[in-house]
Amino acid sequence: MRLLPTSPDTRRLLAALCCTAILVVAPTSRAGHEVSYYPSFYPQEIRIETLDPAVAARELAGNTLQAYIGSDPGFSGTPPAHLKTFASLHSFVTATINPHSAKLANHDVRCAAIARASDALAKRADLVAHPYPVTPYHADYVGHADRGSGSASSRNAAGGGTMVYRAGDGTETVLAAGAAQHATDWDVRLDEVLIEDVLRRAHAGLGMWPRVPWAKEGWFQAYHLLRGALSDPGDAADADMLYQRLVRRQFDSTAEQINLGRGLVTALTHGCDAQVIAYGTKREYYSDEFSNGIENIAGDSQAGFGSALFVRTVKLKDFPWNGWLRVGMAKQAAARQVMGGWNPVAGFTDPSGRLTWATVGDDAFLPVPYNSRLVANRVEMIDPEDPKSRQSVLIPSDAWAPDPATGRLIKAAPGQGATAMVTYRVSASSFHDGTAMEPADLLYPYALAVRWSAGQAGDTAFDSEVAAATRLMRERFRAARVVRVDERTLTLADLTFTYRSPVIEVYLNSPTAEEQDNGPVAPPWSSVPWHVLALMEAAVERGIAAFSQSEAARRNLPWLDLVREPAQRDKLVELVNEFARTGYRPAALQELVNADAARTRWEALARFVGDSKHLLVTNGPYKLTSWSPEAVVFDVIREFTYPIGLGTFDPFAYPPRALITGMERSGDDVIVTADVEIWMKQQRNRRATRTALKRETMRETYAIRAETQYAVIADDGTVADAGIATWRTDGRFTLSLPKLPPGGYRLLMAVFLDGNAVEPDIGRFEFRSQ
Amino acid sequence: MDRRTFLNNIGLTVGGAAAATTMPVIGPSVAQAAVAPKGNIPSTPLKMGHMTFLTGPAAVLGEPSLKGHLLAAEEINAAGGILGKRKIETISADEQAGTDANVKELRRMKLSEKIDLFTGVISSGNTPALGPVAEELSLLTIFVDGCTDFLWDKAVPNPKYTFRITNIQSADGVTCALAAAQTWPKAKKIAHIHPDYSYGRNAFDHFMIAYSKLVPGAQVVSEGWPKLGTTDFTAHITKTISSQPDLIVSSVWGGDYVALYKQALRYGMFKDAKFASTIAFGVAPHAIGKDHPEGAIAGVHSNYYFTFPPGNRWPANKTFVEKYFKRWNEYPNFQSDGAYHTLYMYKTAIEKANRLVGGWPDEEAIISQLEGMYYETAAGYLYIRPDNHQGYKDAVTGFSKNVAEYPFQILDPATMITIPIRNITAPPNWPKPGQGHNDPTATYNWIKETWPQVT
Repeated sequence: MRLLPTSPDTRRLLAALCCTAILVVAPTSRAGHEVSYYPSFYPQEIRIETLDPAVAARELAGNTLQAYIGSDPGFSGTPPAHLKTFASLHSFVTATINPHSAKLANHDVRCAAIARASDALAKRADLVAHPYPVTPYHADYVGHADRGSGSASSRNAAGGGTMVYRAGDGTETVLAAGAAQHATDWDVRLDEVLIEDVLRRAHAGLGMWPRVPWAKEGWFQAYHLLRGALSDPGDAADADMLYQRLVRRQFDSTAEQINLGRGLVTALTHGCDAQVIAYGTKREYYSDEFSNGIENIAGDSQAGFGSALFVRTVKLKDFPWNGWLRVGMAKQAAARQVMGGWNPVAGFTDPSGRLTWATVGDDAFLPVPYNSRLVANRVEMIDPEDPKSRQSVLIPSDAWAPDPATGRLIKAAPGQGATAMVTYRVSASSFHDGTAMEPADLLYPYALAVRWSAGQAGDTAFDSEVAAATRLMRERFRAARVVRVDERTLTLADLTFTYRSPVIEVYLNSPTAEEQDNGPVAPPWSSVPWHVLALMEAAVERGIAAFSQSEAARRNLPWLDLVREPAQRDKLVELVNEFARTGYRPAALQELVNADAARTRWEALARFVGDSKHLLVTNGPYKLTSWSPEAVVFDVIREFTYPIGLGTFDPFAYPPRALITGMERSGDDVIVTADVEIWMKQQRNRRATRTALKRETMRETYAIRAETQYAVIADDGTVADAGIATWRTDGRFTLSLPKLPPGGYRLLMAVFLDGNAVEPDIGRFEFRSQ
Repeated sequence: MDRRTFLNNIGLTVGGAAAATTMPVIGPSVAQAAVAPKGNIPSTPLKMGHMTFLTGPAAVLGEPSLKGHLLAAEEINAAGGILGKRKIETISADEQAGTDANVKELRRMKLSEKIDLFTGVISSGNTPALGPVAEELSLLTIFVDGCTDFLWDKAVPNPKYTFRITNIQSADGVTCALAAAQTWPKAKKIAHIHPDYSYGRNAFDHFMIAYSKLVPGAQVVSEGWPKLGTTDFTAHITKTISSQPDLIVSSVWGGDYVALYKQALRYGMFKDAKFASTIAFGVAPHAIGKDHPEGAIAGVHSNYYFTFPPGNRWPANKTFVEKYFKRWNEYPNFQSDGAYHTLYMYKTAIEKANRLVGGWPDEEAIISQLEGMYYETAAGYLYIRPDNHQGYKDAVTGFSKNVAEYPFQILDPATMITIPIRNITAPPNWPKPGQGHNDPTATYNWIKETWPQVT
């Protein structure tokens, strides 16, 4: 493979990147049987079957199925004792006022109607009445925990009379059977909106694109859930302004940040156009049976088992590692069923598609299961060579930037600056078609994002969903520069592997200087090689298919699918063969890839599709081996080129939970004590134990890390102070209250152990300042 | 010499009698009884560094090691600490960090944390790197594992501060060979499935050199060398079956072994041949399912298995297993036993030194008491050889069996095999590889040169 270097330094860098792992057999014999690193994760095979709930219930009970993902199988009686459940946030139930309802023209009457809407809520075990959009499954809940109990005064407001309800399409089960209903002449509509649909509406987390870092936070979801219903322009403007301040991190303190979030919810609900009245939880069953069950469960607080961390931690009890994991998924409800769209640019939006991408794809950062943070996966933020270069820097002339009109990667123009720079070390690895990761692979997503967003609706090279999903990245990204390639060796027994990791600077125009905020916005990463991205682009340009569902509908084309549509695959294979003959590479990469290198890529892809019968090439921990309407099967990648190993994410399984046991005032301080609930491993089982939380308390072999959040809320509802408490050597927590204006205050505090912010036990303490 | 005579001479015993016959006829160390300390003892905590795998595949070994260490520390602290005054504070470190990082962590533990004892370490890749640093830092170190012969042969040829209590690696293949020869002496056609790295080759070499001495005409009919990371063992299984072996020998371990045996069950690999492994049961006891073939020689890295010695035959084991289970609700493995008794050996050495010199003994005094110590462990007596600081205890292996008492398969305590380690290990001054021979290890050469070919 030859590249087109433009300088000796670049040439050396590119050459160094050509191979990501080298095996050397050392001539010594100084090793035991133990192997300290195994690539990828526990199961050697993951099989996801489409199963009806009744069949799944029977198989779970009979220990032939290890988990049922996405929904409750609905046991007719008490489920067997060996089955356990994992609960996560599934949906919001909203009540929306009919703007044409004559009897709800008055603001107070609308608010009363909203407040009383919970009376019409079906008595479903999975629904929790909660008239507030920020729930205990959101990491920012502590700052909102004084809200959400409803207001008796608004509920009892006069007027309106008997309300007539309507359930939103496809969510009929949310409405109580006894509620007055009418399909057209209704006052209040109840909808159950799935979390995944809120995130899709927000264009957060589409396919391969970096998900906005705050996607799991309550204020963000509240905005995208309720903003569309606002009728008052003033409320809408307030909501937009507060939302933008939160997105741009325009606050100086934690208290101000919380006040912005509270203000946003107020702006969204003040007009009583719509409000969240409840949330739904999802209980996913898994087998905990001693031999055939699974363990190491790290479900996501909002995605449950359909998450990357679940796949990366789940372990079969009968295997220290390896084994065959078999899980079921329900067929989607008919109204929601979509076919096609398994492409990483704007697809994988259906539940089985999302799980497929979580399994074969590998994002730069992954969502932490039980808070709203991200954990580094394939990139690591490192200190820059010059610490002063983090802010207000001149973009160097050997950095690459996409042309704003075409996306073509060109050298940065002289004299351009950026407000921030983040330095990453990338964990490169080979793609499943055998090709090695190169700078072109890392940089091409920037070009693709710009290219498919630069036009406007109706243009051939424009996709509104790609544009929306990449907006934050495009707004902030300026350029990227390959700095050097680091080497790391790994010796296992008498085998030595050498890994090469490119170090890349990314230049941003960001409103914040916080590296933790900037890091996930535009990391230099792609789990898909440039040639597969270019193939998809060509397919869209030639009218074979469209990237996104909406663009497919608009252009009356199939939704691009790299796996499941034989007709598309045949056309794509024709393109691959054509490109192999011509050495095609997209215009955006003309300066980074030459025709010979491109030809090598296409030939590798041709071999891959010949062997695998699909084109879903990634560098993730599993590869897709077979699929049908009944089952999708993935094989583990145990090649030592894959740089993330077994057990990497194990600390995310079974997070400890803090329970506040005491709060007392001592002068200006508040002293807080807590217990900890830990799931202790015992042979192949886990048993919950509760003990006093001390500094030395261990979670088995892990030391526990405690974080706190507190908010002091004044009688007028503003947050007067917020921050973190100090964990003392005696295991108690101390927070010092600031000097506050006279009045009544409520202190809310939670302890998050190892970051576990789900359903926090919130300590409450009321006091007066004189 | 016939086989039976040779095996008798070497001290191989089968079944529960082993504990009584192979252990030295001496009582438990006097120091294990509580005696008032002499002189002034400071009350400052004793800091211990325990490095082991807390993440990654080797955590199946590391976690029991830390649990064994913590149990001993908790017991000692509950009794007032060592010499009744000094309580133990443990700083744990994840060995998964890699050799370079582990060396840095060892230095940090000594120089910043001021640890008094460094212990743990599973990987044979790490002990040769950590041993010289411990010597340089004059840091008393007792390795729980890291069993490579290389540690004393090359890395630390004249140890002063470093000790190791696990049996050395060559014992795995030799123990497996002696057990197989004792049990199935007519098995001449041998098929091998070993991981394609140094441990697999070590097991193959040492099994064959010992077995061929004991079973005339033994021949290798098949070799399978699955590469590291193999999940599909079909090719190796079918090749093995087609060679029609009498005996299949394997040193595949952990999750790879479970994947191997479950795939082998599908092909009926265990139906027509005997099976012997150096390390099939070498992870936590609860890791092996009840579908594992019964009656197989299922090795435990030649160290310790919790069912043996059974009952009250060796109270130290009964007590240890009960205490460990009470604390952790699971059964100990050889790492648990090693880490637990490491701490008690250290405590015993300090107590003995205190009685000799009074006050808190310095490291020279503690070392002098560790050298030559016979210590009563759950696995039997452990002897620390003064010349190389290597721990010696009986090598152990056994036969897999399902019993109602446990939800996993165990080694049958009634048929356990023990062999005095000194009888299957090269003597202290036997030439190392490169000193007149190029065999894989000194033990291999010693067996080749000195063991008779039995008839």
